[in-house]
Amino acid sequence: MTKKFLALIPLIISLNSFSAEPSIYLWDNQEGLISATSCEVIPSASTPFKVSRFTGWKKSQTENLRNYAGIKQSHLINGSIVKRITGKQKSNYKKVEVVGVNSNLDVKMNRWFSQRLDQGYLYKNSIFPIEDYIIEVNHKDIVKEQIQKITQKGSSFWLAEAQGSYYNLKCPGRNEDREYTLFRVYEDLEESTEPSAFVGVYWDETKIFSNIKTTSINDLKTNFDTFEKTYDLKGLLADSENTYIENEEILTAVQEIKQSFKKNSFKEVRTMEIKNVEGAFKDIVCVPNTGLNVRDESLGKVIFKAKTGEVVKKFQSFDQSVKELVIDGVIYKFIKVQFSDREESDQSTGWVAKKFIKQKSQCKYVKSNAQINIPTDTEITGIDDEKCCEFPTVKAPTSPYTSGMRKFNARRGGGTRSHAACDLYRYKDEPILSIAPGVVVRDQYYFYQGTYAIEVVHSGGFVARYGELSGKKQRGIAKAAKVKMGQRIGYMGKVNSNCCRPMLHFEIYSGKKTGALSQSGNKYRRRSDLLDPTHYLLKWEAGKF
Amino acid sequence: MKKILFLILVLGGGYYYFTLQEISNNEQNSNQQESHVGKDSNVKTPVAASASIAPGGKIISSGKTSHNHIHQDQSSNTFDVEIVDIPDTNEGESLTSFNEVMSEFASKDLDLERFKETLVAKGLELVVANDKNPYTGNMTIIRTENSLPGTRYFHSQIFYAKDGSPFIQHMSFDYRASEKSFAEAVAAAKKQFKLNATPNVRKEGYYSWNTPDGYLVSVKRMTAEDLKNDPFNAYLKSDVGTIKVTKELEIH
Repeated sequence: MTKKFLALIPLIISLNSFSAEPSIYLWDNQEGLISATSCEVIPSASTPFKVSRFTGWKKSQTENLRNYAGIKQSHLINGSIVKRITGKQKSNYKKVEVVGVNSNLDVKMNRWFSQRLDQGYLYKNSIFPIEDYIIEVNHKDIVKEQIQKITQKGSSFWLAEAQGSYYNLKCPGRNEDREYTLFRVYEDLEESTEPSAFVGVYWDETKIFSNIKTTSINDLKTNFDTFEKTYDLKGLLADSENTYIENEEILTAVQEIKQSFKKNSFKEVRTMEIKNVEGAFKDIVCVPNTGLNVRDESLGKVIFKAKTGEVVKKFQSFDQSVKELVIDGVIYKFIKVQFSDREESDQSTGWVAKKFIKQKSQCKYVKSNAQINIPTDTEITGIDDEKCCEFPTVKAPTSPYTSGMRKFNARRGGGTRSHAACDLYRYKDEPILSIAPGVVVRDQYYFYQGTYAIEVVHSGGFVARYGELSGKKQRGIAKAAKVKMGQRIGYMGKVNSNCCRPMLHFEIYSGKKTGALSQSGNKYRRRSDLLDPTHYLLKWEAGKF
Repeated sequence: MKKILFLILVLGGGYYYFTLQEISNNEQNSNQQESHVGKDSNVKTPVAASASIAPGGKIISSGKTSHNHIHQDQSSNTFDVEIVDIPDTNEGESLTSFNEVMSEFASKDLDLERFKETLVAKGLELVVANDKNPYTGNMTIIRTENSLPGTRYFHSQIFYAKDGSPFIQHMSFDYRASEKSFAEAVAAAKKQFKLNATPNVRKEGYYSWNTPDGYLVSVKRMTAEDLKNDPFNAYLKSDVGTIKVTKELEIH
């Protein structure tokens, strides 16, 4: 306690010279900035956030992100923000996840460069303290309302609060276990500038850093005195202008629940019902405006809020149990759901009122994207266009797809059928790339032995089925999503039987026919416009590797 | 004498040539496996493309299986599963019930309406999602919203032939993990799908059989890796060990 107090002394000797005192907020990926009055500021010896830089005898603008075996996975641009994560320990390396890729360097990116959320091992000497960098956060991918409490501008400048030690915010209520690393935020960088706010960022909720430019403070041409100033954070927290809205909401919700809560009232539900829906199978949160309370196992506490359109997967128990909760005299059935698109691990599951989970096509509050349009700004006219196409794996296959059982037309089923694809052997979880511009017409579905497939219609109308993918979802890839040539659309998978190595099972169709790609009637058991992809792949491979 | 010497040289040269080829192939295979060693404990030295090793180390022809790529380990002495009865419990009844549905309806000649009626008659709530597009046709997903005791996540994917008749491409469900659940699921699959005693692929936590009608029946004990990123089913870490029973088209 004494140590904590001593560490706070430089902050308590506050500067009272500025008139408009900065407020303190928490960053929430869904809700943006949330006031943090109820929180407590605690000195901390460390922060999970670090910055990467190349270490070596020659100059380089990137450092290698490696896998556990030491094999290079991708190039991480110097100045990128990473966070330390747990994982198998590797001598002289630290396991990290990329939080934000620095776009301040003049580096021509390609598919071998690290992206946000990539994980791997970084050489320990290439990891630098975050407080040595000023981070320009671009707001282009942030909803305006989420950031407008502190600035209306297109970007802001963030500096980790590290006057003698780091500082964390700990807040009561729904996220009491979290420790938010405190940053000071400037609207602009001028010598006389003062921070417009302090913002706590939790290590597992970092969307704010998706689009950044970092600069080493040592490289700044001006000496900014403002970086050295200290602030009475406790005093700022006590500022009456700060109100912790979230907590109030939660308290209200808990009171409501206390009034009429039937603790774990389970009821067996057995109704015979068929719901017919149009469109791909996708359950989403469907509420008119304010967001949906997501509750803990007891239903007694709201743990976070979900927004309309968020994709969920419903849990089914092995025993048909449904929980019920009475709120304001209304009985709500509750189901457990998983928010698979959320990056925050402590917000991935929770209980929600069943009536607010609907199939996407049945939710009137979201815009339907069922209509599939081929993009008109295509760069190729078809599969025979000389600019066509990108080879779908990131490196040349490890085994020839022109021979053995990997080749098109190879014997299958003891000679009863023929192989309808070329199998491109590489390594599990490597990215799979779109061969051409196009539109996803069928999102991930169960393909074969624990692997998945997606179907894309490419410019000019030819169709590709990318089969034997892993379940790992590439962000932005969904039904009706437009894809560019070379864009990541999925990851390489491996079938359950261990019969063969990880591969991309690659099928193409001319597009002259319509209907399901799997059909009977020929030896390939495929639609009759199936093409032999071999010579196309050979051409694209020669142009790439 | 010269002829004999010539013959010896030719045979010796031939032997040397083929030995080199074999070594080269093996080197190539092990290079390709490099990054997987340590990740998959089942990976062992590959054997020739035209054969796989049966339990007990006996080499069998894999002509009847569809996967005769460069084989990785598909079998071992330790992969034998205990022979058990289908449990006489609610869970056993559910296992039998879903297997019966799969056995009857997972085919290329599907009576879609009767399929739905059969599921509903078992007390199951269905979601039928019709995913249409003008390029690759229709896919209907039929999933259950609730479960039968000890089972869950019944899921089926239906495509349509040129004449518009529906056929099953994939059908699966989960069976609750227990000490004997894998053996029970294997016993139930053998009985209800009328499968051979010896599966085509037998490795720890995974059995599969190729059926004469072009489908593959499999029983899989799900690992943490399997549960990760499933696009339809929600899982927690505690679900590792859940059994998935599947019947799906031989599509590869």
